[in-house]
Amino acid sequence: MIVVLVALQVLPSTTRAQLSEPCAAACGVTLVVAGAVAATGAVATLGRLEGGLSTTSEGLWVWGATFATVVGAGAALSGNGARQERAVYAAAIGSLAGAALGLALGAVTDSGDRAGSVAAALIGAAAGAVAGGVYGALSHDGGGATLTPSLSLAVPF
Amino acid sequence: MSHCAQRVLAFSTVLTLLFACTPAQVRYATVASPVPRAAPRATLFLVGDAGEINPHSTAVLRHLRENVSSVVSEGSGSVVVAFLGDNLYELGASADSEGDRAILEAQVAALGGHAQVQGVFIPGNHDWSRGGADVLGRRGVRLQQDWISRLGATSNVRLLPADACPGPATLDIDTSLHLVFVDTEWLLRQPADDCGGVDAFFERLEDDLASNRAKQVIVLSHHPLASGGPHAGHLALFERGPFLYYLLKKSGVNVQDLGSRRYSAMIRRFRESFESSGVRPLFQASGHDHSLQVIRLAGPGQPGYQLVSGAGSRSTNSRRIEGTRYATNGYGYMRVDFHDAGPQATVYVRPLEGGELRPAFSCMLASAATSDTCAEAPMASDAR
Repeated sequence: MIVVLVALQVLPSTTRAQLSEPCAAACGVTLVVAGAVAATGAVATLGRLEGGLSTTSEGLWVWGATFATVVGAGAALSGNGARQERAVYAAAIGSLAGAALGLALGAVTDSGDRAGSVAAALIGAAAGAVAGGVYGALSHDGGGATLTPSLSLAVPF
Repeated sequence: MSHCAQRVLAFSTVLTLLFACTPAQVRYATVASPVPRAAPRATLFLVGDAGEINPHSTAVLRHLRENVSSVVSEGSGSVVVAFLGDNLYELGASADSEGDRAILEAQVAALGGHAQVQGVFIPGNHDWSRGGADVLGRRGVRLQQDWISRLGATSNVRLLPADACPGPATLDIDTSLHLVFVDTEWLLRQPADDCGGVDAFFERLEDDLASNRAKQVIVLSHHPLASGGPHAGHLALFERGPFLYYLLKKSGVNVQDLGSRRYSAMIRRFRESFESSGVRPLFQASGHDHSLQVIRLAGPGQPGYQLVSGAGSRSTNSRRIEGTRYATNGYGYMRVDFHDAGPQATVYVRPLEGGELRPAFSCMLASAATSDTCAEAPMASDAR
């Protein structure tokens, strides 16, 4: 996580996710956690739909998806720190609400299937994170733009 | 940071430490019951996941060889050594690998070259090229079968079920003992081939069980029906990586985990077959989780016990689950002696820190229908 948060000032042509004030360290950590939750939920969804992934490298899938999610979300929201902060915290709240809802639905539909309940919570958390993040970004009034990046991530592709 | 955020952080830290401090491995005291004096009429050795040459597997296979030789010298009845899958790490047999053949030879050498000792290898998920394509997996299993049959020129050894099909392959080692070998990786993959479908497999299994109702039936497969190990979602919070990976293991995302939809459907089909055939096996012997576990199973369609013997070369932790009689993360194997008084299972363990293998647990196994005769080992004095 620390590695992901380290500012990577690479090439100007890279895809860049910038966190600007007031979305700073705590906001950045929340973004990474929410991104990891969304990525894990995506892998869980795939695994449950398939009946089980036939790979043993699901951990790598998660980390790859986390990195892509964090950079993608950061890039999409860059340039407006207040909007970033709102979207990131809305994603976190959404993931918690989604996890609770998924757990409840999993308990109702998969009685006695503990793995199914955990998967339902993960999938719910991922859906909640995405829904919360989108809602937080779209419902922002547009004010609070800043030009000073406090943290940035970059992928050279 | 706000006061509220600090409280959330403190609560999360306490919760994390609580999970992190949960012991990853249940710790039982060593209990070795005296072996009955009468020679058994048959002996079955169970060693799994031995597909890697390292100091642990070398010690395990050396002890196994000595144990097999001592049984033979005592003039006991039939002796079978079952290798319960993952006979070749990581990706099964590859044509250009001398090292793969050496690993198989090391396992076959544990039979001691005694003509009366039969060796049976069962394919596991690693023998099927782990998560590789079906065609690669099938090729690897058939190549391994070919190598084993060539080694069979000097030893009585083979791979069952043959031809990368699910079986069931059977072996009667005594007039009243019926062994059923199943390729459970095939059942999880369900590849497109000419082995017949899953339904056809379970029909064959039910027919075989029904026609051997009068015998003691033992099912051998790589994948267990129950386990207290990581493949069944029993692991400590940060045992295998970050917290989200823990959740992923718990959620049955990987087909190799008991909680996945395909694996749990396979378990359900086994139970249905046992129930409909009216035969509840004495036990199912498997590997997959790299530990040694004796688990009493209860409920409709369950075998009497699940013996997990997957610690031939690797080690993972295991938890105490409902029915656990003994569990260890040490390396080793199991031996089941079939006496007139009943079958006796003994667990031979090499501690993680090394040293000689010793019998660490032994008990008489009861049939599924009768009351349990295998008492749970006491906890180690320094265990919780």
